[in-house]
Amino acid sequence: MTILAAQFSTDSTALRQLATFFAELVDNRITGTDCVVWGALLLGVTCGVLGTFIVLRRQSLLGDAIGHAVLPGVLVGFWFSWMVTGHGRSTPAMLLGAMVAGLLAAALIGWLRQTTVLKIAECMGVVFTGFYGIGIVLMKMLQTTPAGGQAGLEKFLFGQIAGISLADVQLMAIVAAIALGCVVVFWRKLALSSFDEQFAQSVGVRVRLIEHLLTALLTVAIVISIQAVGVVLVSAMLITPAATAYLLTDRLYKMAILAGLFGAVAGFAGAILSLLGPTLPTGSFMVLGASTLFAGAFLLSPRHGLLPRLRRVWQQRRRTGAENLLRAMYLILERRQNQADLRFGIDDIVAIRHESPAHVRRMAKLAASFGWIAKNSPDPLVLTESGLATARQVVRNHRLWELFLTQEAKLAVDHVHADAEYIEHVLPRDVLAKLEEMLDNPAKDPHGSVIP
Amino acid sequence: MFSILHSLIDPWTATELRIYWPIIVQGAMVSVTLGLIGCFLVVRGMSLLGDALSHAVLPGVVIGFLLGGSLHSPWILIGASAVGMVAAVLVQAVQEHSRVKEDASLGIVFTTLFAIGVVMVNLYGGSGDLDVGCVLYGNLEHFIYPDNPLSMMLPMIGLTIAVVVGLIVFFRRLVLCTFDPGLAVSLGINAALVHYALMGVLSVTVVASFESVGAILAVALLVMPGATARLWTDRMSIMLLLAAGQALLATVLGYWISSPLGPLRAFQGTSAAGAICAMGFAIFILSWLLGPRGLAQRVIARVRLQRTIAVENVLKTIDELGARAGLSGAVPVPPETVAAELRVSPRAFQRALKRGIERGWVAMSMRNVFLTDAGAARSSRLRRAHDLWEQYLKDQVGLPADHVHDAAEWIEHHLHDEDIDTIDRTLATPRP
Repeated sequence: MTILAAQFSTDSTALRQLATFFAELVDNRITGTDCVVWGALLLGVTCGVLGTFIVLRRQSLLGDAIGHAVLPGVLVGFWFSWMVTGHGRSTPAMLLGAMVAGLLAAALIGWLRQTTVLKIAECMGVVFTGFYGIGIVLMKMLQTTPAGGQAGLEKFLFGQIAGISLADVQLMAIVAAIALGCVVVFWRKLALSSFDEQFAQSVGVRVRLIEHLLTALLTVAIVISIQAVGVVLVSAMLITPAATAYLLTDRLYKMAILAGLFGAVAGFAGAILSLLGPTLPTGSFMVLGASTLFAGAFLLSPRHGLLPRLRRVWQQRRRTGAENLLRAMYLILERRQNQADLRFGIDDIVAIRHESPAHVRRMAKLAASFGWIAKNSPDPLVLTESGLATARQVVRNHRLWELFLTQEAKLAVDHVHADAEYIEHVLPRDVLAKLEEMLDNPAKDPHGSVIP
Repeated sequence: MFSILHSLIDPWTATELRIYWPIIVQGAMVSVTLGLIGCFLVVRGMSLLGDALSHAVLPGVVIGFLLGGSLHSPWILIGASAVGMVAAVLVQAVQEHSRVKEDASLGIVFTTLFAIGVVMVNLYGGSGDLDVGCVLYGNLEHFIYPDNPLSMMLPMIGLTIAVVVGLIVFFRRLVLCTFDPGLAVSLGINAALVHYALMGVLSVTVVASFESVGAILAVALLVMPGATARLWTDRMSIMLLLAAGQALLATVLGYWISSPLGPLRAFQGTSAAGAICAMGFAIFILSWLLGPRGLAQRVIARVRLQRTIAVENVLKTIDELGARAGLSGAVPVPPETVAAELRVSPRAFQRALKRGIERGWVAMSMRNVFLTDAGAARSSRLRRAHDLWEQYLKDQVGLPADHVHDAAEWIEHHLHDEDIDTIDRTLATPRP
């Protein structure tokens, strides 16, 4: 593992790394902790990419349902392989059992939904808890047999990646390759039916079939993840990386790639952390890794993140405050004989804006920082050239909008001011141009004031 | 035979019940209470909220356990309620302040909190009462060991009584708020308050049942009784009663399955909580199969319809062959000709013919088949339905004449007498 980490930091490309890995995987040369790391990466990528589609389809909780429902299948597979071979932990048998149980549960959910009055949430709730209950019954039974004594079945609940073997990783690689291959092959159909089912149907995509394919792939992804993540939390590996990617991009292929990447990072971090102690639950650490990434994107994503959005709101608010000050100055200027006198007393502005002098001073400081008011003149305030231009623009926006509302939208003259008060700060340039054209570059607003 | 029966009933003898009654009583209280509350979630389509809640409160339970030192301390309830509140706020925040939708936001928040809880159990639990197993499937069996199990059950007894009394007292208000919040508000009921009260009771009950059945099986007990009852009835009051009945039945059956002396005695019994859920699931599946509008009824109805259609097609063909021969009335035709005309497999034809004879529509004479009076009437009714529908599609719907035959061929088997008469009258009435 340390060698691997060192290679990651010093070696040239990840691609060569991957090639080496597959070469070693085929030659059975990967051992111990390397298995753990590669297993975590494989499951992270697979879950992340497939999760993209269920997050888009708003079916996130389907992952949860299938995740719980595979438990009895795992146990039956375990029991069966114990009966046949004499030792319980045969991964293919358990995966096969899980596969059968997962698909059965998905089919049952769909069937219940079609034939009963129950809503989708109830269908899922009944099926997955029912399967899970059966699973718990089987687990307790198996624990009293010699089969259950020799391997910790409870590992399947929260995941324990430490015991993963080379054969397991090889199987995971095969399954992951099939799942990702299907995504690539059916990419267009998957994308279409996830975004707009009706449209997809109208252009000849067999939507039901694609849905079944997706369910099958989800089951596959869950099945290869349960050894590491456990059945209870596997849904998080599907939802969280995909939701994180959703916050960062609008393009589907970028979302899928990012989701795979985040899944891999979360899987890797979880695996490493859980190896610090002998019985630490790998699944919980992977989930917490994914959640941390999500929290990061939720707060910091440039376009959809909370903090950048708050910052934009804050900036707009500052700008609005300063612009309101400029507009007040312009209104005073309009009444003056001497249009060249650009000095304004704080008291005059207070009389127009009905705000406290302290507030006006604060706004003046903001306007000064935008370069609209000369610095070093606390009272009277001196408007600069760019300040005058901005003031003119804001007043023009305001009056044009009032005119638009009275003339085109047929609102009463006394109903338009509040609306214009808001729009004057945010009117985009192209809308302004259209307004000018539509109103034929008018000279006066509905109140009779000149439009600058 | 008798000995098998006796061995099945064995654990129910008085001696065993004297030891194991706490399991049944506690299990019944938990499942009935959760089941009653669950009914309101089921009709609102909010079952997965219960799922999320029961997972999310885990860190609170662990903190409460660490503060109070046992699974019975009130700190557990306080901790769980606090974390439940945090979870609700987080879900709302993620949904409101990002483009992530409700389902994903619910999923992310509850898995995160549950993962934190599992790590905490691993770090701080372990030796004491609190272990991973308890979190997942609870331990109803705990209740049979103490000297005075009643004292351990007291919280659940209180909660059960409170929920049942609350449901009876506020029944009308709850139903109104569930099905028509708008009307409820206009009648002066604070629908939001009712909603939050229901959620509050839900979280308290989930936490109180944690010790008995664990996080995930609590969801099963929450959803299954309501979902099962919903399959049988549309009325809320009956649904609640049925749900309680389902919960009780599942508890008793589940306990019996799981008992160390029950049918699984070779395995020294199994998890009582798990068995109760499995039995609840079995009852649900049976209801789905056998209940009203259930799968069995649907299948039977479909099979009957298909049989009738097959027989009716035979009638029509016999009639047509007779008409083609230029004869009216019951004309005997060889069955081979009919089969060839119908283009169905010989076996299917034989079966349909046999049913036609059984129903008294077809009769045989000299190896030929002919229609009885009843059969002829049936056939002419079919032809009338067919012709009228074709006419209707042409005249009223305006379809071209060569597009109407297939539709009529299908619908002739489904029209009732009143439908046929109505179409006849519609066609007879001149269009305005």
